[in-house]
Amino acid sequence: MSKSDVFINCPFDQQFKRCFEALIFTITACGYKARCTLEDDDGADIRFEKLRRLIAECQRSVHDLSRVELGPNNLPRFNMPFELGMAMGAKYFGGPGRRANTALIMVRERYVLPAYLSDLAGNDPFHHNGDPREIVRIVSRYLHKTPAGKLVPGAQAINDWFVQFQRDLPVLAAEAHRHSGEVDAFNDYRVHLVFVEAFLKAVQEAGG
Amino acid sequence: MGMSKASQKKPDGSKAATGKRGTRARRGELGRVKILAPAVKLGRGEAEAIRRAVRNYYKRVKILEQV
Repeated sequence: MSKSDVFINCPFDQQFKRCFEALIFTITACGYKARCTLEDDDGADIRFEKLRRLIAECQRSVHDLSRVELGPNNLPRFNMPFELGMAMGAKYFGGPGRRANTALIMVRERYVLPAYLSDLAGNDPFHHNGDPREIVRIVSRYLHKTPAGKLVPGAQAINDWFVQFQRDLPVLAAEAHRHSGEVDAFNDYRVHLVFVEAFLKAVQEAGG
Repeated sequence: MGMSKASQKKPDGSKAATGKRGTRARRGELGRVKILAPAVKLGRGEAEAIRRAVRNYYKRVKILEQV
């Protein structure tokens, strides 16, 4: 298990895309490694096994339950609450080594969670209203210090870098001989993360 | 001999300065986050090529800004 790895449990769809980009950007800017099921495209790997491995390897996890509404087939999406349950199971039944595991639970709107997940009524999830800036603020506060124990950058600074990264990404992609459609956070997750890492290092070198 | 500088004491009983305090702050490193490489694998040299391209771009932009 790594103290620098953060497991991400969130919807991977276009409506959540900007929030997801803000999420992985903030985790990287705070000195952590963002981990999610997109990092491995081995079709032979069973999805549950992938989740089990990720949760076992990460001490921290971020769960977004903002998208559990009914889909086009009139059925709710249970994946996110299910993965949160796995992470909580690891913490409470995974032995002494897992007791220090922590989880951040985010929702879109305040006070709505108990209506569909009353077992978590005692928890206080953070609401982001679908705003990536709020996600930066919530996640940087949750992580609050780097794996090495230093304070993380302020949310305003991370937000400013994120805006610049979003603006510069097509140019950076072209510099690396890629089309802007080939650095997509969902479809090209691994490549996108390397761009995030390289951008943040360049910002640091520039003294930003 | 054999004692670390931090554990050495001055004649008045106070600890000797290690020379470390504040050094990193003066270099502007204090609070600087170590950005970790992502836990993902790309093709051979692919990640390094992206890092180099991004680094070179910002170097060039910075130089242009200074002109």
